[in-house]
Amino acid sequence: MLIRIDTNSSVPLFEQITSALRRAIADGSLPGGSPLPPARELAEGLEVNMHTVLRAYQILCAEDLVNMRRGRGAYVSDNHPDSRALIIEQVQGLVLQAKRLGFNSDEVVELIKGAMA
Amino acid sequence: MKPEQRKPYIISLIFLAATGSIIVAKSPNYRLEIGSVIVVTTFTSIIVGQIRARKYLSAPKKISKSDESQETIDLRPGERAIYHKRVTNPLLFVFSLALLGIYFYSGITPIELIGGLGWLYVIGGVSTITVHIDSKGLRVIAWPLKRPQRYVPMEDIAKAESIRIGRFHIYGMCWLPRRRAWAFFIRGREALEVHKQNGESLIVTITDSKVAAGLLNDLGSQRDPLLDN
Repeated sequence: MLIRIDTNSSVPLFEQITSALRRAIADGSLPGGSPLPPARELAEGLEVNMHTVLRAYQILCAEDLVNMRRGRGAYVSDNHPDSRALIIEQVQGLVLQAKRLGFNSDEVVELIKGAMA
Repeated sequence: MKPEQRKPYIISLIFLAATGSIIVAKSPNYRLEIGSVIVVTTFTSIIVGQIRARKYLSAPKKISKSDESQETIDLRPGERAIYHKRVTNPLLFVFSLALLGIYFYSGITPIELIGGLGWLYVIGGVSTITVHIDSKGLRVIAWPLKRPQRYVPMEDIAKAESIRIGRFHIYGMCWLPRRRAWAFFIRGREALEVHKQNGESLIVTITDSKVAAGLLNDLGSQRDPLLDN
């Protein structure tokens, strides 16, 4: 699994890390049950603060893509993480694009509801 | 666990159950006979396997680069990246455990047991490895004992490439004298080969070896301007 971040980008580093991990889960590079790299190791390798990595892990944990276990580190959850990660990643892209084009959250929700109806 | 992940365990369990049944069904003097047969067969297969692997991997026809150009992931200035992968072969691990059980059960002599355990460690001990690449270099760590480990600092790396290897070779960790390489053979087909400045190399079988090789090459070339200063 490759995690790359761009220090010149306007996107915050924790979001870049979250996105890279989400993509890895979505494309099957990180299958269910596989461990994420230790936060310290990842932080040292990417030359970022460990809290930046932990924040990314916590976001993935809140999205149910990752389970954090005390003493065992972070693991990709077993419950079809790839399809969930794919949807979340696409929603993130949609939200980013909508913000750029000046849509507010209600308008985006309405559009999604309309499309799913 | 997915069905395809379960398959190696099921095969190994069947193997273990079948072997156990044979041992139990034998006469009271079976222990020494079975033990000797297992030890002789195992060591013969290791020696034959090692010879075959060395011959095989030193022959240019059998091991070939997947691409002539140097691998890259187009890492731009200002970009940072790491590669982290755990490679596992559950069949290797369970097979080693099964053999270990037979070793203990068959009542072989302590010297034979030590030799057998040594071999099992080389095979089973590296059935799962973690490959970690960052700007400092490449690290290969065996699970679960964290040994053996191999670390190649970035300044020692001359070049990294993705190579293709055959499916039939020895598994585990071995030294290939003709190629002057330490090799971690966990699976078949695809591997990362890291050439060191001193002419030695390190081979690790991973699925996306092109990405790993590309990252090492890019991180190495990013490092050069710093060294010139």
